[in-house]
Amino acid sequence: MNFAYLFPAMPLPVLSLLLPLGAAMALMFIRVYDIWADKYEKARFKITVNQRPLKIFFFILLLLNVLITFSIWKNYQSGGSTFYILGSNGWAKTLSGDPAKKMWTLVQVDAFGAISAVVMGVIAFIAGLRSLADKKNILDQSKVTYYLLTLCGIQGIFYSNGLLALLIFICLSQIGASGLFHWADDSYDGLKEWLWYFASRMLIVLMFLAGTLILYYKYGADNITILSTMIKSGPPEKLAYALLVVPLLFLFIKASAYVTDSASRCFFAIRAQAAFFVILRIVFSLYGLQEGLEKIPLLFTGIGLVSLIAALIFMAKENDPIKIAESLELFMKGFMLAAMGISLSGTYSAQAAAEYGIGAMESMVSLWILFLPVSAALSFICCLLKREECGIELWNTGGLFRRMPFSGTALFISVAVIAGLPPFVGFSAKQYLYRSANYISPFLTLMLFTCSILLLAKALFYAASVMFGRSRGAACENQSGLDAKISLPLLILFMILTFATVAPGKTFDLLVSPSVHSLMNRGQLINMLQQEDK
Amino acid sequence: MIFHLETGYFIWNFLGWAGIFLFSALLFCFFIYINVNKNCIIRVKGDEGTFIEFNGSGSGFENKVFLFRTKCLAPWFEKHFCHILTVAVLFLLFLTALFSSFGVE
Repeated sequence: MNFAYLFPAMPLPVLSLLLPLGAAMALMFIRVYDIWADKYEKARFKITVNQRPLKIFFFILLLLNVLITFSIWKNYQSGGSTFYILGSNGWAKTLSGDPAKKMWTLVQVDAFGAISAVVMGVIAFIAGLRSLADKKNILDQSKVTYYLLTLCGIQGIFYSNGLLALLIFICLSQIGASGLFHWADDSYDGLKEWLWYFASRMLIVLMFLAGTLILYYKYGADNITILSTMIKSGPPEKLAYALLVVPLLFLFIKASAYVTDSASRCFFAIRAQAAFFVILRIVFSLYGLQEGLEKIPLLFTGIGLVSLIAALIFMAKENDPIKIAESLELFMKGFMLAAMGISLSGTYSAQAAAEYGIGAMESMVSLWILFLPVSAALSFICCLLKREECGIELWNTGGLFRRMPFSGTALFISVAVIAGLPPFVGFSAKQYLYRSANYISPFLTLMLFTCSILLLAKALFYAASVMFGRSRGAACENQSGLDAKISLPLLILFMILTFATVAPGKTFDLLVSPSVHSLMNRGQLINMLQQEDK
Repeated sequence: MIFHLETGYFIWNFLGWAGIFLFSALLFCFFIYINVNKNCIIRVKGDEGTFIEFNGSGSGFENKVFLFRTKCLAPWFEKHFCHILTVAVLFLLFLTALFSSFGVE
């Protein structure tokens, strides 16, 4: 194949992948070159990247990314699900990614992927804005490189339809996110922690690779749409199921280490969201309703409930705002997993699907879409509360509502959204879920509802303590204007949440319903084309 | 009919929503009130207004949960290999669910 064909008439999804990847590679090259110039004392060859151009470059890239992903989504709405194929004559657009034609089906855009990419792009942009303004966690060349690698990897996950492509993009996002995590001290213990962290990440990648290879050698394809029309239930397929789902499930539940940089926390949350996206693709689009998977819905529901209870346990007498944010995120993840279990169980028969399956699926997707904005808001507020001023962390100073009313209000609203308190946006999703859970067991509904109430009580107590509590130490005299540090990103996030709260029907029409339809459209496109050929 | 709005998926009753909103606001205030009064929180009126004592001793149940967390869970989470252990446990759970015949009618 002639690689010159890669560039003319390049489709937007490919451009959205190559842009951050190219920028990250360029920055990485400059870094390596500088290290080389330092080592051999060739100062005159050294390339210095100043802070301001770097920040402008990063801002433009993130803005372009939002515009491109938005444009892809708009085009998708009018154009339908499309595969982009790189053949000997350059790029082509088709409805089917048939591997028999020996072409490279590199990119697929469907509703679920396009919507995910837009949501991710907007949150990455907001996180970038926060990172540009952050004076404590200064944005440097390495950080920008890792952010861009994560961005490219995750975007690739949303636009991939092949397991091997997914593996490559998971690796890329792992390199980016792992670069953001590095051990804080040079001690032996720190090194040991770092090594175990990388060992666990290697294990995750190897497990996914093993699952992909099992399916590839059995069916000769790695394309999810094509595999879904051929896959049968047998021991190798079941083993592949576990190997594909478990690593992503772990990445979803334990998305990051303890990080106090809000922008990095947002990127870790983006990665968790992408991990859940891959799980949904494998569970709903690839395997669907196979024999032998009957116990999987119960397992997902069980893991969801365990996550909910764990989140409540971790919040007991906890004061650290970052750990509170982690617990609240774990709570949201628990609800998503429980919703996934219920939706899976509701798709095994037409009657169940009509009664509660589709409702549970809509609940799951709306919880999933909501996860990123709420998680980003929590990251901004909790990392600000963790900030040390005059020798004391802000959350300790008490009476913060007077000094940060905007962030305080945002914290209360975030808690209300997570707990699903009406009329906030989380309510519609929770309402669907409680109704669906009741079809499985009233006890399950009761469990979910009780967990929500307990979380609401605990999180409100924490927020009230921080915002209205008495000081535990001497605060700085001049601590006004704390809100200004995070007001712009928070404002954009709350504009999104307000729109979803005021117009839930429009949100379902635009985001949730097309995603659910796209997830359920398992191999139907290929079957339709094959029937037409006959 | 001015109080009704149809948006494809939902039919909204504005009066109903106003009721829900008021109920939520009441619930919200109730939780704050309970938290402020029950958790060994002391109201102090002074020059700086009304404050809440931060993080009171907590309820007995919360203390027990906290003890369970610190004594039973935390030692495991502090181990460096807990990530690999979690992956292994999840994998075993999935293998059991996929390959065992237990629980299938």
